[in-house]
Amino acid sequence: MRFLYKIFLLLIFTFVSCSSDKTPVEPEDLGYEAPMPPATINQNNVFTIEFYSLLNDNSLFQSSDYQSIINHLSENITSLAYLFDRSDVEFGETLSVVDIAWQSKMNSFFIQNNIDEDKIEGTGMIVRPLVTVFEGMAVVDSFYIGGCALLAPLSQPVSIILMTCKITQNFQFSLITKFIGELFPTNKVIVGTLKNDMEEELKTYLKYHLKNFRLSFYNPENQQNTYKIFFLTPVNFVCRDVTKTRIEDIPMYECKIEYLN
Amino acid sequence: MKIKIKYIFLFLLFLVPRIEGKNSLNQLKVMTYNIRFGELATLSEISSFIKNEEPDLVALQECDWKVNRERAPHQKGKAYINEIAYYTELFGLYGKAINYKGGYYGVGLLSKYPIIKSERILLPNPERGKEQRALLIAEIELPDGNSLTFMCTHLEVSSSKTRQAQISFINEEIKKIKTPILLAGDLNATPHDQEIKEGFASWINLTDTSYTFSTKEPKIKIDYIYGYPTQNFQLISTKVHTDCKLSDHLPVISIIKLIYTNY
Repeated sequence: MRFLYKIFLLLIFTFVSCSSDKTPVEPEDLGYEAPMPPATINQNNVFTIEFYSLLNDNSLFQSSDYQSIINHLSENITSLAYLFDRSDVEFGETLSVVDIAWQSKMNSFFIQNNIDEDKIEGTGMIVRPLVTVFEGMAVVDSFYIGGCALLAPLSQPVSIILMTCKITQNFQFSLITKFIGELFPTNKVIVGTLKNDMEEELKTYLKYHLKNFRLSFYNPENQQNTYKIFFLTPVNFVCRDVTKTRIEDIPMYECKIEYLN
Repeated sequence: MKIKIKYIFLFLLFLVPRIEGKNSLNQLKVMTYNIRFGELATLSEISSFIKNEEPDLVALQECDWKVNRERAPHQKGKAYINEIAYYTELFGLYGKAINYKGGYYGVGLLSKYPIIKSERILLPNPERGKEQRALLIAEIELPDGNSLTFMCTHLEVSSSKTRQAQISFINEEIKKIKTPILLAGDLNATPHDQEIKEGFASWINLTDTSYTFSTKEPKIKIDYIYGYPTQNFQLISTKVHTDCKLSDHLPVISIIKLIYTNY
């Protein structure tokens, strides 16, 4: 009987040790880290986005005095797109982004952030070519993202879906990744604004919830700015430089993005 | 017993607005207008007419984009939708159908409310020698947070067979859309034509039978506004503006009640 009992214990021990051996050890999730981009910039693969923004919670245009921007857009034809953060719309008033586009003979789109009965806050997007697809997502009262497919005239024509959004709360992070998909499509380039104190939170969230991406920021020097610009691109794109300038009173950020082929 | 009935009545009074509150209701003023490439009027005149009507959504057909057209020299090089959007203070969207004389020719739409996403789709063109046609689709966010898909099209002019193929294609496309849909445009067929009777059997007609073509001598109806699915729409009123002579077509304007159920 004692012998049988020993056999029984031995079997139990063998079973436990064998099964524990087979238990897969979960590898520690280190998140995604993009490889360093090449040190040398291929200027033939760089395109420019002009981002007009006060980087705060005020409307970009206080009146319809944006003739200098119309002149600038008419003369500067090399930028791929022009984004006007907080070019808000008031019902029954001239739409600034439609007006600028019409006068500079281009095409406009509008990505809303907040809509109420008589005003819509959002970002105007102006592009030169006629666009057949404008992608977007709206989670009412929570998050909006939108943008259009463009052909960037680089060393070889590259199809880019240029999008924009405004991030003000951390629950929006998951909405972005839901929209993009875990495997970042290779041609979605997002240039948007983010509340100043959310950079680390966004970095951490995307590190563990997204792959094949690059995330970079432009931090304004002015302490009065409550937002920064972020660049969320597939790994085959990289933001190389942001230069702040002004078109009369309106701050403009000239963003140079390189396509890494 | 009398007191009990009183309480039941009070309870019902309390309940009724709450049940209604679940279904958000909107009224939209929707216009469709074939502007005949601006041959008979300036874009400013067309825009003035549209702006005075204060529509929420407008579907425009026969719109040029930077064309040099002999029959409309006063419109040379103009991007119709961009310019009309500017004058009417609405958001504009253009859908190219064909290349034409240095520019494009197609359809467009205007919206009082922002466009979440949009797409231009080329319609089937099974017969040789027929002009390519397009369907312009825009998802629009309304002020109450609900979304609506607005479509604008201009179907084949001379072949019933091609129109049938185009309408069948549209009926397949709408299966992909999760919001209520309004389709407006010049369908180039009368209400008695088979493609309209059969092709739009599952839609609700949001216009009447008044003639829309031609302006000089209105004899047929070929311009429509349809809603899908039927339970999401109710026609409040509709009018063909017979006094508007800015094109060879007459503009059609409907006031439509949008009923959001558990769609």
